[in-house]
Amino acid sequence: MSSVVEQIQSEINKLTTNTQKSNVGVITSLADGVANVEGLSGVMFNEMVEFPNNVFGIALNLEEDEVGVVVMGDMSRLKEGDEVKRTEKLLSVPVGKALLGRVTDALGAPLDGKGPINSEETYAVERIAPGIIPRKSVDQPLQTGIMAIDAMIPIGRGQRELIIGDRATGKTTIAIDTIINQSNMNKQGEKSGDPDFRPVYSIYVAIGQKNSNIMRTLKVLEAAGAMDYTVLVTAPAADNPANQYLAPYSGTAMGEWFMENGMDALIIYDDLSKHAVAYRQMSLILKRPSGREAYPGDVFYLHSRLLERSARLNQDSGGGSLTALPIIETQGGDPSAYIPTNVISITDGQVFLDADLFNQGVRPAVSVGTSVSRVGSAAQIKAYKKVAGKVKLQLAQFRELAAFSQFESDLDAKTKSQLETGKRTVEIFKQPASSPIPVEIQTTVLWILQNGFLDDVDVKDMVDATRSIIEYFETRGEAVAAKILSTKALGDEVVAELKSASEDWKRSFSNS
Amino acid sequence: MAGNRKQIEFAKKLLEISIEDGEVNPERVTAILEELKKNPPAKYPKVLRAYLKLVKKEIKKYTAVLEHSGAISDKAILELGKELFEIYGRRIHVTTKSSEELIAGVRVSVGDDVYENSIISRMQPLRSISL
Repeated sequence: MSSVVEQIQSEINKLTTNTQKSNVGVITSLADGVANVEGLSGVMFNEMVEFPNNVFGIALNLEEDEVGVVVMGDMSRLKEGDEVKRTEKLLSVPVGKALLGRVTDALGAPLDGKGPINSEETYAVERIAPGIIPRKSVDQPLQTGIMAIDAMIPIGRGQRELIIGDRATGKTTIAIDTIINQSNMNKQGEKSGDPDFRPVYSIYVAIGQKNSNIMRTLKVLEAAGAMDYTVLVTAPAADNPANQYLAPYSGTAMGEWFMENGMDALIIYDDLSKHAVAYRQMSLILKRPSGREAYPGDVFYLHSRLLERSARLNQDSGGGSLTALPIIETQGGDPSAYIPTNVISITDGQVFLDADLFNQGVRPAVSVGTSVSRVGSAAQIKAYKKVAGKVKLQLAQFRELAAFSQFESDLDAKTKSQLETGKRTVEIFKQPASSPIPVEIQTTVLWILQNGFLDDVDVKDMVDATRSIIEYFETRGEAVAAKILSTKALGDEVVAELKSASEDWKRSFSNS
Repeated sequence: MAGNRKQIEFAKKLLEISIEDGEVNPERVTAILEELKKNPPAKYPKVLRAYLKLVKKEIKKYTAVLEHSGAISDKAILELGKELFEIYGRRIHVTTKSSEELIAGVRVSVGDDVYENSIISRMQPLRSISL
């Protein structure tokens, strides 16, 4: 019997085979998602390493005697003494259009039960941001569909605009509405057959969120038909900190594919406060020295290298763009905490959401005075710039005046008029969730406001009037709106048609 | 970890003087141990443990463990020694170990590097798929 076995073995031994070389190490200690590994002498920083049972990790701490590896996966399947192998690969995720409509984890693996993702390419999760030469200034708008933002804090393609505010002030709603608006515009653009139309693909990265919230977001996007142009990358609160740390980088790699292939993409990081917390947890376990608020010294670099990857590329580099809308949660409305100030200084502006405004019923609760867009106004279309140019200043002045007027019983006529206009403007910017307004309609609404058609409408009726204007220009006044969209300017002819349509609307509104 | 730094540094110096012609010299190690016994340094056990770890690691660098399933000839061992000399640029001592779990083939470990040509390593991808 044994001779038969030996015979087969000697035959197998004779076969021409390829020897595999690997660099290995051994787990010496294992705790809280981090494995210390002795060996792995050739491992690279950020390299993927393979544990037994198909568990992977990333080498993050390269020390003289050992390597600190963050485990991504089920740690209960590992034990001290287990062999760890180098993979000689940097962590990569699938990229491409095959991801659209899919929900993935931080490593790009599908979570939606729709089968494997048929992606032909992969991108490394950590990549160097585009340099100075391939970049171009922001000059094309990215309409959020939220009038308060598009009019006063306009965002351009390739910009990084922070959405900041306390919990439950509508930060995620702004992000979701922006995605929905891109989807609506994409559908409209594809339908029009315009060869110059550039769709915007969206990537929503959920970091440290409750699974129920992610599910709600998914349902909203599905209901609006926006998932066709969207990728959802999730690292929920129950996921290990390594995955929460990686998710934004994975999402960015997916977005970069669109940018580098001459397309436009939008990425939402919801939210980077939780991302910083996950990184702090990982760093403390890795025994890295901690600094302010126990965050490690490189927490600024954590976010700067992430957000620098969003850019507008010039024509020689394909002309693509990646716009980033990071979200930061503040505590007690204080934007001067460590992480908020870091991200504020990295981004090209911020949309500040005020809890008091939110509670007063002003939704979206955009605080005009503290919100700014440093580059976006260059991207506004001419027609819109003409009608929205002074609105931000007027509204900021109104807020100041309104605060002072509380102490004054007798006001002069000019102040009263300013207050009335301000109240009307506040009302006009109120907008329900999940109902983005197309840019041409926004232009008409603001034109009507600026040209006194709403002066005799009671403040309490302003929301109804705005809704009525939107309905009118989506139906009877569609031709004028379409002309604004195609010409992107308010020429004499368009203004004349707009005036006539506005008078028509006014008559019908007054009669109703 | 930080508290052991001095002991580790001391153990590193001991290792340095233990090496002769690129290998740990047993006579030198014996002499060092005797000297340490006579004049024990602060935290002597920690120094010894760190020294042991470093010596083991150093020996591992020039020792190849050849695991094999089935018979292996002396000629093959000699050839392997020559091959490893080519790769590492230093003399590598080859020790053999029978390992039936390979099913067939060999596995050679030198320091952190593993060269494997066995049935079990070929079956690994299949195992990953089935998991």
